[in-house]
Amino acid sequence: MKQFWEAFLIEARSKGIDEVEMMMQRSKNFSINVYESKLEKYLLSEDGGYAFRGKVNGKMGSVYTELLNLELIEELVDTLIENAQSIDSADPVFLYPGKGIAMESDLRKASDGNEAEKIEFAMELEKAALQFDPRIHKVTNSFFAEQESEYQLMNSHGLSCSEQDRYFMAYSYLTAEEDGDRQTAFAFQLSRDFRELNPQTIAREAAAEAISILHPKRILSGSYEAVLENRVVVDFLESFGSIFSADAVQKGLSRMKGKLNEKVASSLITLVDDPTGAVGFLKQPFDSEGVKTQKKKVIDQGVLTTYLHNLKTANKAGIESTGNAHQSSYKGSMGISTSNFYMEPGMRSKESMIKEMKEGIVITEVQGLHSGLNPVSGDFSLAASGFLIKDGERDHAIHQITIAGNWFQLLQEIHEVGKDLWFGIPSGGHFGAPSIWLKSLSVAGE
Amino acid sequence: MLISQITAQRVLETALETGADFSEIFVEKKRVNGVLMIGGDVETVQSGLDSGLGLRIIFGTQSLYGYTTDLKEETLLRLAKTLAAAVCESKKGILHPWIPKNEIVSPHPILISPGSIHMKNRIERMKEAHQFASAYDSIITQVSVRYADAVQDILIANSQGKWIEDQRTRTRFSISSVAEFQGEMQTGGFSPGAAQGYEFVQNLDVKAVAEESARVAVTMAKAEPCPAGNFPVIIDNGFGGVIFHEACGHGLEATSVAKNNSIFSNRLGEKIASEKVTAIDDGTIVNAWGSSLYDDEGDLQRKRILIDQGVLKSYMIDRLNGKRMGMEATGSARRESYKYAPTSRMSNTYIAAGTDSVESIFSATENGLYAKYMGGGSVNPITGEFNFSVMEGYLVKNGKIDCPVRGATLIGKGADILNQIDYVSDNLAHGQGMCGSSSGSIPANVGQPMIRVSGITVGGRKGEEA
Repeated sequence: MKQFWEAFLIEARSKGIDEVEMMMQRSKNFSINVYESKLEKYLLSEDGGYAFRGKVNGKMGSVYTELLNLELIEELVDTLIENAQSIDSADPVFLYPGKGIAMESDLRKASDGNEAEKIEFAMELEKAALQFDPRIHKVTNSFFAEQESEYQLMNSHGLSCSEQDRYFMAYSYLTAEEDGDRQTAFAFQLSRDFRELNPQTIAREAAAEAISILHPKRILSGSYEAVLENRVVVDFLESFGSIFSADAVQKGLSRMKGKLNEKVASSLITLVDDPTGAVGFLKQPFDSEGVKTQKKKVIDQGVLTTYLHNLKTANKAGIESTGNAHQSSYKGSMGISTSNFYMEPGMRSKESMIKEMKEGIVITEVQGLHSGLNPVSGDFSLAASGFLIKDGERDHAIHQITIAGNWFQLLQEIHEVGKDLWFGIPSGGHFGAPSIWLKSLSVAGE
Repeated sequence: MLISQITAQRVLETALETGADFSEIFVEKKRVNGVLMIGGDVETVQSGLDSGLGLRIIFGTQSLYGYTTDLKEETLLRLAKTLAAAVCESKKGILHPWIPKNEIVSPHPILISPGSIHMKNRIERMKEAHQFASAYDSIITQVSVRYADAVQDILIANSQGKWIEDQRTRTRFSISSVAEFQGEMQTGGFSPGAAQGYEFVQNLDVKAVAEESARVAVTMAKAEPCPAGNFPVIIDNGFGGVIFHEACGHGLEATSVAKNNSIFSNRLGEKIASEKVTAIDDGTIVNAWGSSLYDDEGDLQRKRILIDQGVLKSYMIDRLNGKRMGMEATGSARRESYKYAPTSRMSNTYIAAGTDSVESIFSATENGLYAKYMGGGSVNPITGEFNFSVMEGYLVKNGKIDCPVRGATLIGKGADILNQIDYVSDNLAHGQGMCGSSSGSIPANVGQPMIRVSGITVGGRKGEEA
């Protein structure tokens, strides 16, 4: 790789390009699926790629390859130049001039568990779900995965950042069936330590969930008081994560534009971006541009305190980068993203909020987030399911309803915030939230 | 040649050494270009080269899969050995000699290879699109244009002697407009694409697409919130076919049928839909977005009649699930890349043209919703519950289009909706989308003529019944 980087530097310099950067990502994956006591799928992989960026007359060109071949270097440099020349955005661009900065981060815990143990784990995951209750007659997927990754970022200013990580993940996706009614549920665990995963815990959580939502009924259209469970709030936070990106703000694609230091949410709401790993799974000492990251409140008791920046947007705003540059993979382009992003928990337990609400609904799942929700306008209209609450107690499961509203308005109208902070599966970001109580939610049902 | 026949043979043989029934390699080299333009300025240009190999071993109904970006023979043999170690039979699996190649001329001609086009030509077309959209109305505040092309060289070789090489070219052009009116921001967008080269963009009516995206954004920014409730819904042709794709298509894929997970499992020959419904999945439509000469197991793509006048005729089946179901594969195996084992997926799926006129559909609808353009959606294939969003919608009153409404979502169960389709018009058209499932994100067409569903739950922000 070093040879490839040096050859790239020489070729780029010979064509008059002095500022270049290379990012390398490699990963090893192992995963298995168990179905009906058999190893149904078994996956092994080793892959990786290299992304190059370079400044050509003030414009940033980029190109990537999965094939590491010295014969490709000339073509890569030429393509990078052609791509840079096509850019007409006049915004100044930067490669981080962190001369001589070397940051190494190794998050790996001692690897434990051999392959046989992991297959046994997935078998146990299926068995535990089936033994939980006779109504769980089929487990569609009992899954175990392990990923080891390696990341390096270097540039011609002497920047050198590297990271190594390894994690283990398991989930159960199953169906409960009774009197012709079928309901599905999903539960997972994620850890850097294989020994922390427990098949019993995962299986029990998924199975109990599927059984609890059997025999759902529809409810009448109307306006309901509602508790949104933490995982539903996580879905919302994730879908609206991009509104805090300074890039979206500067391009007029966020309603947060012009709202800095203004009250944009109820004073019960504090949103935090925390790359330190104190809470949440992500631990990130540097961002995708090599800038040191930091913990900050994005909304502090309802007041918008900062946008999330990379070098380009920070320069445009005349401030320092907040360390939120993000390149999703060597195939992606440089953007902005949250790190561990969560809503600070309040004091109330979910149970006490439901009890006090007396009449209303609990939403436990929403679907169609990629299409039924508009991050620009804040409007959402989503398929949902959950429970009907009567006299502070659970009455029956509900399904085939939609909930609709506007996220920005909802943030202003939150009545109570729960204490049950929960983080979802990392996917492009790492989001966490507690359950929240709303005094009014528009529902379409029968 | 992506790898030599000798290397392929050694890898396939090593994979069979512990007794597997079948081994298969999929090699690809894909060149991609992508351009993003925001507010008329090119923001990013990305080019890349993807390269890797996926190796699959089938043993009974077990599937072992591995992939690597390192194509050196020693690496591939090590991968084959490691995978094969998960199988332990006493005798070796059988490796058949290569079947002589049968040269087929692709029915999907590529006229202008993306590799022959300078970036600035692509950008000129994008700028035109930007100008048409932003000039459409003074309340258009932002316009984004995207361009993407890919040329994928593939090789599929398996232990039964199959050796297939092919090149697939795809091009897509997307435009999205944002309109802002009295504090309300709404978007409208279209993403036409085809299994074609640069000629697709050259021939595209950029003005029509750009102005239509702007018109949708402007109309929706000025629209009232949609009322919630249950009423007849008229879904227009083209991308409206996403309703069939989500509500029924996924449930007809062997991936869910084989494990008895689909509401349509074990129902071949039964009436599952209104007799007005004939539904087809056709991977052979010339140059269509979801077409290819071969599927990703190296079988020729074909046309599959899924539902004939309401009666279930066929599923979409891949090799492994076919084994589980005791049925032949239907040329439906697809995958995003070498990183995914193939499984049964849709290609170009549509409801065939019927005989009802557009006028008769409206005049039969006293009160209801007209979904002119659909957004995306999703489905749980086990319960059949689907949801999707309406990009541009109108209330229908007394058989006529009334006012525009925004924020509508349609939900229901696939099995119910199929029986509630009571009108099917004759104006079949197709739209393009990316379909995500267990073998990754793949290009797929959805299509239909205008249809009406007699009753469907509509979610919207305005609480009362329509």
